[in-house]
Amino acid sequence: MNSAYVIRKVIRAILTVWMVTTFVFLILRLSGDPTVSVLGLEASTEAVEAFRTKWGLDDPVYEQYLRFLSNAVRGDLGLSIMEETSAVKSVLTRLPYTLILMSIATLLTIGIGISMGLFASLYHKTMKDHVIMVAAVAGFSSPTFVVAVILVLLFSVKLGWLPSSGSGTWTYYILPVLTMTIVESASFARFTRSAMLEVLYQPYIKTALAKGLTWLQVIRRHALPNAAIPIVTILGFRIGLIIAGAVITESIFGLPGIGRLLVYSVKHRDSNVVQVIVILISCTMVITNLTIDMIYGWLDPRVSIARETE
Amino acid sequence: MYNKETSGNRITKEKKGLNGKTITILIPSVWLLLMIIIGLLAPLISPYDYQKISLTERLLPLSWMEGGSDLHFFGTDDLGRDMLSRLYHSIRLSLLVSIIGTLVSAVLGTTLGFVASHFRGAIDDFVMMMVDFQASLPFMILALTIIAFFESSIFLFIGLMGIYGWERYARFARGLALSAEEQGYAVAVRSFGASPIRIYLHHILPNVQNTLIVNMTLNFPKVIMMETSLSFLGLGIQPPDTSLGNMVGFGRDFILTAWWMAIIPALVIFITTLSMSILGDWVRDKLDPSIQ
Repeated sequence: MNSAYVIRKVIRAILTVWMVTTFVFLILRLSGDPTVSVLGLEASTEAVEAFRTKWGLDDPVYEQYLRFLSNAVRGDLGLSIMEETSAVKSVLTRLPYTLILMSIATLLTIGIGISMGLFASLYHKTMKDHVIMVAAVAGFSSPTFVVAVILVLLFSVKLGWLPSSGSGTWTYYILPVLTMTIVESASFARFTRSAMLEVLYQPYIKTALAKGLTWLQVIRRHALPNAAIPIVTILGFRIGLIIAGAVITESIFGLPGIGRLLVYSVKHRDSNVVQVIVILISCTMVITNLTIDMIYGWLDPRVSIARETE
Repeated sequence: MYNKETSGNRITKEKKGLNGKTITILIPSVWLLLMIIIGLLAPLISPYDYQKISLTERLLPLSWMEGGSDLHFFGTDDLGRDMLSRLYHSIRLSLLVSIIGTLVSAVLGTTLGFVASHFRGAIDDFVMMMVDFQASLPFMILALTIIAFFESSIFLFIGLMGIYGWERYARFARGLALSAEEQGYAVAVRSFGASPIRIYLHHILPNVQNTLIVNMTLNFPKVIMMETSLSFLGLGIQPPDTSLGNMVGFGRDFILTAWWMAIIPALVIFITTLSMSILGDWVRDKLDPSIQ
């Protein structure tokens, strides 16, 4: 992997984060005035004035923008209007819930999705393959909220085994994790299967089998490493969907994570909090994609050269 | 995707599953056709006005359940509105938004992709930068931000759905056009003096349209899912209009007492996206197996 490739990728990543930040700033500031939604229509003129001066809402937009950028670089993204605490802090206190939910769901998704896909590809065109693929297409086509509502009906309402909403003990995580895993592992299974099928029909697999290797060895040494690139790519594509899934899942199950905070802040026009969350999410995605680009270069040295000449 | 020539070499039983295959295409097609007919005829076939409130008939269960009424096939909601009529109108609006959204993003993305490939240089860089930007922010987050900070209206919402997925079309169109430009036919018509617009619309587009159509059919269920998800969160279609997503959203609060309010629209969404995915896969296999 050459350093020019890495540097170019990093610069592009920083540029993207800057663009997202600017975009969010513009949208939030140009779209209207949070005064009314926070203070209500009946607020006195003095209260409105005080509020506007306090949050610098009367300055020209470019001044607000420059102040915003210089503060943002220092990690200061203003106060949460609803909670009167630092917006960053307000988001960070929610982070653990989202991290727990997303990391467990993602690990389960990768584990279950990849093994299902692998299994289906090895039994290509048999009953086992068909059953897994039908299940995968069904999971793939279900919106997160539909799965969530059906799981709540089944496990909370009908069976009464699990709590339907809230947080506290680990049992509150089961349904949210299950929801996200069902939806996401389906698409992982699909992609893994097609990546594997592409590899399994290559002549070198036949060669490896012909020279007397067992299926297990062939899969581990020859098939999986070659199928790894498309599978890793999917991880990059899906991370945004996993985040969006977390927003919906948290809102449905009342898990006090970042996604629920986002929907709440959006409804109450708490622009600073929305900014922090959107920037956090775009950083997460940019870093994930950067990591994946690096993994590419490592999995397949041809990639960094090919991209260089693009 | 594996290709047909090599598949015969595999040591698997090759079944002639023609019948099974036809049925798996037929059922989703019939379902989608039904949805389209319902969408078109919703005002004519609805037994009641879908907004008519009837407080004496609140939360009636499905007609075949105990306490159900023959007058309300799918029961009524918390305001006594007829569920079947609401379902028809929801299908109408959800389909309308999704179809317009899909078409707009296809046209927008393809145009931008062609523009990028034609002008190259700074314009190309700019379009690709926008593609990067779009790819670095989940669309749902982008949409949530925009919807809540501008006055929520059906036009804004349709407009938003029209941006959803544009970057995929742009990337495909740009890549395909760049390679098409190198090929003999584009060079030949250009030397005849054809205008760029003519070259792109009459020569390059027909050669790349399969990929774009496949992308469109694969994208359509995602558009429905996005529309219903946003409406479910209460940030998409606003009452008194109704969409499949906000029916599930409102029904969720009654899941303990009236599960059908959420489950019936949820099932309609599920079967529709499932049918669309199955057909999308089939179209892909027919037209352009190279797309994933």
